[in-house]
Amino acid sequence: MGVMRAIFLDNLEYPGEVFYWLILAMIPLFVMSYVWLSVYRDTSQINGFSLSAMVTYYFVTMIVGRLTGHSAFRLADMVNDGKVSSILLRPIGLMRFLFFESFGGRLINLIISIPPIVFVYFLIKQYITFPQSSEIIFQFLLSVVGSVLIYYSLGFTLGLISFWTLEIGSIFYFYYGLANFLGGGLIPISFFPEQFKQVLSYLPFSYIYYFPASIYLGKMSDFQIWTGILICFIWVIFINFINIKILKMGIKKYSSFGG
Amino acid sequence: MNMSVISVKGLSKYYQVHQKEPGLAGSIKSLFNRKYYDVKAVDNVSFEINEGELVGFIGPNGAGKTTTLKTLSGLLYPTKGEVSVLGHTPWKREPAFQKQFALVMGQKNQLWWDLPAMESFILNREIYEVPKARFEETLSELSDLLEVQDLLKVQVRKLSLGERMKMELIAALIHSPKVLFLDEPTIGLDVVAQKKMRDFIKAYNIKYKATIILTSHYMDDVKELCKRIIIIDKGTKLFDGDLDEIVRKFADHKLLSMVLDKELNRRQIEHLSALGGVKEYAYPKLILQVPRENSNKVAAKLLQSYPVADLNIEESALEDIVREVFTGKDVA
Amino acid sequence: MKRYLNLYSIFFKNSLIRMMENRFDFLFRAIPTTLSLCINLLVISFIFSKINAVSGWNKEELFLLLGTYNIVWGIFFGLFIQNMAKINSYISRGDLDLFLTKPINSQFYISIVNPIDFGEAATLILGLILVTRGVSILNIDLNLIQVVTYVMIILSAVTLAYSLWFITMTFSFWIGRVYGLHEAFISFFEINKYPSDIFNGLIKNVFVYFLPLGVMVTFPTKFLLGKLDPILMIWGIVSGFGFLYISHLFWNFSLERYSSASS
Repeated sequence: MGVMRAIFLDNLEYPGEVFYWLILAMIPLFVMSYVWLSVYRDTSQINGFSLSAMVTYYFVTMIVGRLTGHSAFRLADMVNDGKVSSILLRPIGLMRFLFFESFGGRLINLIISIPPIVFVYFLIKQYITFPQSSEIIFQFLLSVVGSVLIYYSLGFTLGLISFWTLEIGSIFYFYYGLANFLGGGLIPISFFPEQFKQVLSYLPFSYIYYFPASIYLGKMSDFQIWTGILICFIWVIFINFINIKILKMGIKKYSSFGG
Repeated sequence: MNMSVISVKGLSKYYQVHQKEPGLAGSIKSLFNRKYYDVKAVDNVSFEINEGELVGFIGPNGAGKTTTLKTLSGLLYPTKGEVSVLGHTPWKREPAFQKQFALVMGQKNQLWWDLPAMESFILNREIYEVPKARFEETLSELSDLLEVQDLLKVQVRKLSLGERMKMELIAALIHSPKVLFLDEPTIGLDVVAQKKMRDFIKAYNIKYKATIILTSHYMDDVKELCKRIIIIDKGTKLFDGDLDEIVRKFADHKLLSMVLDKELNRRQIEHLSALGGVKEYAYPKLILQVPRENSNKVAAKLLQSYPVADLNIEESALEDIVREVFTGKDVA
Repeated sequence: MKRYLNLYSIFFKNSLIRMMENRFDFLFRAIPTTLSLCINLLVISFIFSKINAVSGWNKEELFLLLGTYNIVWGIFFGLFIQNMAKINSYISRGDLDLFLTKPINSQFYISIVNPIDFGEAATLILGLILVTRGVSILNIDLNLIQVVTYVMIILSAVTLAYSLWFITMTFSFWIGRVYGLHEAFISFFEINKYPSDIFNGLIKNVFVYFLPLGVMVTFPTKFLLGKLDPILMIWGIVSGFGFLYISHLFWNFSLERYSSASS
């Protein structure tokens, strides 16, 4: 709690800084809304999406995006500074610590973003839809948890590369772009061609943005939702299983250098 | 008669700092209502420096040394006062002025990592518009002085820390400035490098008759290099004169440095404090600090009643003297 | 003027030398650039799998726009990114002082002191390929004068981008250390991936006249398509230099305040 308070105060010291971060997240929402607005001038339904659904899609994606985060750079710093040894003994402990550190930060990020998000909401109120039932809200929240976990876990996998190489910054540009695109952040996955969709269904990315947003918009049947959530969590377990293995390998390599 | 190269009259620099109460409430309050208070970084400082002088500015952190130096370099506008360096007003930042001085700050790096230092020198030559002949001459003189002639074409990142530091110096001085402002030049360096830096500064001062102001909080820098020192504390000038004068004027203590041939018993140790302050006692070494007027008397007494094998009367350490000056001695 | 050209050629030469040192780095950079471009192309294709036009622009025209976008990005980021990213820290950490004591214009110096990023040449080349392809597919006939004009509008766009970014960075004097300034600007810049025609009314006017982001990529593309109003074209070129002048004024103003208020 003390950490959170400190971060909060820190942010107030530079109001300009907080302002900029928020503008950043709003821009894709802004631009894509306009793109679709102009497209929808001649038609009311595209690929099963109404204009409202489309704008809401990006709105929800933006909000979920405030929660997704990763600790890869933190991990890389720890590896490079030699601090891994201090928590070295319990890999799972390390992973848990880093996750809560990252998630805590993202949560604060979301909280600080609430006023501008509310402001933007009032600007585009006419396009934003809300779920009809509380059951959908519950399913949506579950899927968001899944999304955060998957995004984090995949990021962690990439971060583990820092045990073997220094240059992970450039790799991350890949990750952001790819995760955003394949996750449905740039355009809903239902717009992808068939084969593409097929391949994506075997990958975890769609659970980052497309899956939660689709649940929110009521586009999925109960069955699809529950199987999706199940598969999503299986992915989380699977990826973290691999992460633990790689982390252990990394730690072994690390301490073999007389750490 | 020497013309003064640097002339400072009544220099004052005040600035406002905003005051924030601690805690969450304080942060929010400060968003709406900022309170300021005045800080007098420099207050009514005056001095004149002639060509070829090597002057040391000493004072604790935040005393106003760096602020003064920055004003002389033209980086800051004073709140009050007149300043003239080489006949120019520094903060006008006239190119004619800038081409004649150099500001070197601690460990700031200017050289490009992946390039040989030579390329950075050529860049500076162009920036300062140094004529080719003079450039070649200065380059060869400086690289001889610093013993780096063979390293000029080597990439900076392949050089050792010491070699890099020398290259930074050459880059900073390639335009043969007449006035040098050195801000903490030996900070962060090991003992050997510090000595080399001091030797270089001394040599540069002699060879080019450059006027040099250096700030430092290492007394050794000042002791070795400066004949004249200016002591600044809390923005005001406390002392301006020769190093010897400081010692004579302010050192009211002398040090009795002794070698004992027998360990002291408890009573003898207790009695020592009546004679003076024990600065150091690590058998067989004993250093006692005594008031100036009493030094001969106390020395005689010690030789009489203590197992002293050898005794020397020395001046107080410069550090101690200066510290005393800071703690509010009468500066008349 | 000649002196500054000389100085710039030295920086340029030094950047080249540095690039030679890091040859593989340079090739490496082509990969994320290509990936980025592919993603952008795919997104546009996907949108167009279901509809025919976006604000009167068809798919090939949007590809042409993307090509121009990459050209402007490649030149602008290639020349300035290593510098822009550091301005904020130079100012807040006091390294700026070392620049100010040199007999060289500080805005110029701080804008070029760090090496040119030749990795962005990949972006530039990909952009040129896209534009060349677009011009031929859309059957656009271009004579030499038009090509030269296109290049001029692009250079003006780069000047505009530089000025807007420099103005943003100059705010460091006023608000201290800011993280994410760099990313924020990139986000704004990315608005150019789509034609400014998607906006209407007030917002469009803001983006075309006031904060002329829209001018940077949409205008040159419209010129190629023969859809650019000559008056707007003049505005495009003028705004580049106009904002350059504003950046100069703002920088000097901020410097003055910095010199009187800081310690």
